[in-house]
Amino acid sequence: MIIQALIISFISTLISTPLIMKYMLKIGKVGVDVHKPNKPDVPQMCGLGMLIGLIVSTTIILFVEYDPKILTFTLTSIMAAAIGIMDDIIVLRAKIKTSLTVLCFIPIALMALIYPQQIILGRPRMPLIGGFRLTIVYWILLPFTIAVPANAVNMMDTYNGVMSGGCAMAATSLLISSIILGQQSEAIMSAILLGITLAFYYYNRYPAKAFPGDTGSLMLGAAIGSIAVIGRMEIVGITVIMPFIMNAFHSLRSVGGLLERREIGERPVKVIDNYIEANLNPKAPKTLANLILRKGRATEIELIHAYHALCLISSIMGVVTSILMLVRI
Amino acid sequence: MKKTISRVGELASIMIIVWMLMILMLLFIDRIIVPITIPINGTWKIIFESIIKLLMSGATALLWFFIWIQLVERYVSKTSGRNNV
Repeated sequence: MIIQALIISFISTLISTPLIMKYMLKIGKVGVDVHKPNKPDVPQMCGLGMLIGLIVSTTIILFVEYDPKILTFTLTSIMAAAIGIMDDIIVLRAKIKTSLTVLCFIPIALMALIYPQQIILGRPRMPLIGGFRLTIVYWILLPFTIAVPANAVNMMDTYNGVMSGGCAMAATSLLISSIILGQQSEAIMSAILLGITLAFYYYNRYPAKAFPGDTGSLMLGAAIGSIAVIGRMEIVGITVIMPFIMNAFHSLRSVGGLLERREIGERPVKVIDNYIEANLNPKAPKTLANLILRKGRATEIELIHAYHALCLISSIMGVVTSILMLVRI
Repeated sequence: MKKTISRVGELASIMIIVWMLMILMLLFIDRIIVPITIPINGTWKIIFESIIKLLMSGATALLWFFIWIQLVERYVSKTSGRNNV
C-alpha cells in the first residue's frame, strides 16, 4: 500500500498542478518572483494541486481500507489548506492566520476521542527512553503541534523549491522512520506526503513555474505535524523540521513577534544584480537566509542548495532519532 | 558542494548540538525530574509533586532554548561585517 500511495499521490499532483497553474494565470492570480533580475510573474496558489493530490490519494486508500489515522491526517491537512486558501484570497492578518491554524488540532482531538484505541494522545515515544506519559501538559501543547509546523513551513516558503524540497526530505525521513518503527498507517501518510511534495517540487524548483501559496505551505506543515502526533513520533517531527523552526523562531525573535511584512522596516536580505546578500542591519529579521548569507553573498541557486543541505542533515537526524527510539538505556 | 558545506557548516553544527541537547534534556527529565518525590503525605503530595516536576521540566526546556539562542547569537556576532564572496 505504501508504494501505491506514493504513486497515486505523485501522479494526481503532477497532473492537477499544471491545470491549477493555467487557471491562476487566466484569472491573474500571480506573484512576482522578486529574487530574479527580470522579476517574472509566477502563478500563485498552486498548492491547490497538492491538495487535490492529497484528497485523491487518501480517498482511494480509504475506499480500499478504512483507517481512522489516515482520515485524521486528511482532515487536519484539509483544514490547514482551507485557512491557506482564505489567506491567499483575502490576505489575513498574521496574528489571525496563526490563531486559525491553532484550531487545526480539532480533527485530531475529536478522532482520538472517537477512536481511542487507534489514535493515542499524550504518550509520545522518546529516543533512548521509550513511552513517556504526559496527561494535562500534552493537551495544553496539542494545539501547537499543528500550528507550529504549519506556520514554520509557511515562513520558509521564500525561495524557489526551498519549502517543497525541504518538505519532500522531511516526508522521506518520516517514511523511513515509520518503516523503522513498524508503523504502517504513518508510512502510508508519509508516502502520500512524499508523493505530493515531489510532484510539486517539479514545478516549484528553480526557476519556479508555480508558487504554492499559503494553501500549499500551511497544508504541508500541518500534514507533517499530524503524522508526528498520530504516530507518536513528535520528537522525530521536531527534528525533521528543525531548519524550518530555526528560521521561524529566530526571525520572530529578532523582529519581536508576529508582524505583517509591511510592518517590518528592514528586509532580511538584499538583492544586488544576480546576488543575494544578508542585510546586516541589527533590525533586519534573522531568517535562515540572513544567517546563511552572513558567510558571504550567494546566487539564488546557491542559497537554495544551502537550505537543502540543512534540510538533508535534519532529515538524517530524524531517521537517527527513530533508531534511537528503539534503544533503551 | 564545497562552497555549500562551508556556507552551512556552522549552522549545521548548531542544529546538531541543539538536537543532541534536546535528547539529553529529555533523558534528564525522565531520569532525574520524573522520579522526584517529596516527603509529605496526603492529597497535597500528588499536586505538589506535579507542580515541582512541571516547573523543573519547564526550566530545563527554557535552558535548552537559551543555549540555542546563545549559539545563534554567537554566530551572528561572529559573522557581522562579512558580506563579500
